[in-house]
Amino acid sequence: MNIQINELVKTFRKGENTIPAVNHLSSTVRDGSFTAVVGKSGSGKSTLLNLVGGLDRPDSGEIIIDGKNVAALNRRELSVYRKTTVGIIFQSFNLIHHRTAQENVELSLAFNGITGRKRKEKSKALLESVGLGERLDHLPNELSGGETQRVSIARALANDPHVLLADEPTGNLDSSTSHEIMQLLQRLNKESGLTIIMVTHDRETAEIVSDHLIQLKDGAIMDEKIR
Amino acid sequence: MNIRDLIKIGFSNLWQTKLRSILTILGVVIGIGALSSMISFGTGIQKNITDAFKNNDLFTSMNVTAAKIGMDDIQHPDPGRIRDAMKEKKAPLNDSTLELIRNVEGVAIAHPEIILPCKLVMGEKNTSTRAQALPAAMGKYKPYKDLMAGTFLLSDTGRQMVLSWETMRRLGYVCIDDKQNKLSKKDSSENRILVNADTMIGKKLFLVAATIDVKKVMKNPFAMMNGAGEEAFSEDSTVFTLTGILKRSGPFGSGDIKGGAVIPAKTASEIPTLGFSSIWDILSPGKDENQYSSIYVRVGDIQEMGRIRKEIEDMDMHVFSISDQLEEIKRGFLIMDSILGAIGVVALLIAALGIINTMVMSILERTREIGIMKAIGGSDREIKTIFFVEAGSIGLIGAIFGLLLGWLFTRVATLVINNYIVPDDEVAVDLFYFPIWLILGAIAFSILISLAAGLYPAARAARIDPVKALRHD
Ligand SMILES: Nc1ncnc2c1ncn2[C@@H]1O[C@H](COP(=O)(O)OP(=O)(O)O)[C@@H](O)[C@H]1O
Ligand SMILES: [Mg+2]
Repeated sequence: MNIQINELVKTFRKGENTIPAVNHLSSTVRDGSFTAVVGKSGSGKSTLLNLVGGLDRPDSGEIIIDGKNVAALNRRELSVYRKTTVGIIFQSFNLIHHRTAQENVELSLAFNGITGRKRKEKSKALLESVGLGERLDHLPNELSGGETQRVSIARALANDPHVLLADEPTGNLDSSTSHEIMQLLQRLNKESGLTIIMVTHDRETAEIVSDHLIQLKDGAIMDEKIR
Repeated sequence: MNIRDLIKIGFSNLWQTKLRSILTILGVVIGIGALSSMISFGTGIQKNITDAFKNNDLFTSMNVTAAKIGMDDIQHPDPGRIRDAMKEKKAPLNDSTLELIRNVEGVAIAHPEIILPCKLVMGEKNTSTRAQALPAAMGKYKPYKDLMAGTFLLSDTGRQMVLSWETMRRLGYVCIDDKQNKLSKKDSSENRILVNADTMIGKKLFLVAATIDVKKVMKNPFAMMNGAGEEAFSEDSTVFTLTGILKRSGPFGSGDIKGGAVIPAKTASEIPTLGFSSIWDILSPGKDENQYSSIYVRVGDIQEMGRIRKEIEDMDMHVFSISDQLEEIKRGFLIMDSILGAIGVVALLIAALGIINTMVMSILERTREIGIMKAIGGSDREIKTIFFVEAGSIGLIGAIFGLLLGWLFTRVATLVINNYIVPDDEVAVDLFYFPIWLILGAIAFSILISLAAGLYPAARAARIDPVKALRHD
């Protein structure tokens, strides 16, 4: 099912001024698409992603996923939404530093009520699928940047989300590692039909990997291309 | 997430900051240690006294008097109060009222209370005490039920006498028992000897009672004061056989309350006495229609105390029961316990501040981690629970070690008290008592206080905004 974004508005207050980080934005993200959101720094990319990810609430407008308006969910429903409907990865990885790769993935499963052997097996399988079958017991600081981002991808996929949200997933990686991560995301999109919304300021890569490109400026869509 | 996983996370959080967690727990340990030993002290004293009451069956006994005089009458500043109270009495204490009391259902035994001040002489030693006249039937009750040696009075007549352990000691004989098998320094300096109680049974001793000729005294009351009234007094001595020795009473014992010697009821009436001997005698004016000054009543079942008391009171007699006094004493203890408890609670509250401090620090350090947990689906409630687990564990672990500390403290204190404060010829005391309710109560209280301390930090953790928490490195 498509993701429908209608007239989305999010403003921040900074002293006297209000900053419209997302300004009356509407778009449709097709099911199974690889959508890239590009734009200059401060154009509202992360804010948009956080709204879709249920980490933040809009001032007005709606985000319809699976027939439900995310903007209207209460705190409890939002946490369920974050746990089951979306998976999210960040530029700075955001793994829990004192937990091993497998434990980080398990935590996500644990929040979804999965326990015991099933949890162990599933977390292991997920890490194997991102090529980290040999790194289960490593702590994040014992892994390379690319490996760390793979762990966070495995964690994001743990509860079989409908959409994977990625906020500059390669922003902290060198170009060849970035390339590997992009390939992994493309594979997930092609092979499993996973819907991906990725924020990046690298327009070139965005053009290559995406089939739907949204360019933001001052929180509004400046240009939108669908292939 | 299920509760086991949440507990695991809470514990691993504590474990990661070991030193800080241990210091925080230590605060609780000290708080609970103080609280439990304080309350243990309060309860211990109470138990000692209650046990002493029980050992003497004081809960099932009462004294019946003719005059309706209570403690409040005696203590009242207006002396008219006592006079009025005395006028109120209706039923006299005599053989017919004694019979009425005996016939009240549930009364196990009722006998006139006769206590005579006397001197006992055994060999070269003598001691002043009070002899209590009791029917042989009292042998069914504590503390006359199990004696240390010999038997209780076998009949209501004859020259038989039962002595308390303490009286034996004053007469120079220290009877060996499980609490003492050697002479104390004081015993030696007073030339006492250590004996096996059984060997003393059958020994002879003299009871010397002083009599007073009231008429002679009344003729010239002032002569007594300057020693000229000597001839009003005379002494009579009677030979008795020692038939039994009572067990030594505990640290708060009252074996000697009514007298250190027991003689048969009928025998007592044959011994000339001072005429007034018990407090009830002094309080009642003249002998008038009262044959006895006080009647001692023992009931068979403690549950029946109230009813029997009421029935006797309905016969227009006054009933005094030491258990009434216990209620007073207990009220006093409640106040003492509250003060002691308050000190402990303050210590625990300080520990609670420590918990709040530790938890807030922990949240500040873990802001990002909490943000991550929320981003991947952790709910407010789950985040809260993790911090409650942390707080509750601090409370639980603190309570267990705190109780251990409190218990150790009371053991050391008991050792010190018995070795340095209690004279070596006194029964060892244990002033502390750790009943199960104290242990469970302390644990529950500690967890409760800790959870309360965790309320604010947990709410704060749950309110963390994931976007802010995750924004920058
Ligand atoms: N919590 C916040 N408080 C105030 N201003 C914010 C906050 N978050 C974002 N902004 C502002 O909103 C705008 C969009 O930010 P963001 O979505 O992070 O942009 P991008 O990800 O495209 O760089 C920026 O001007 C930023 O300063
Ligand atoms: Mg951004």
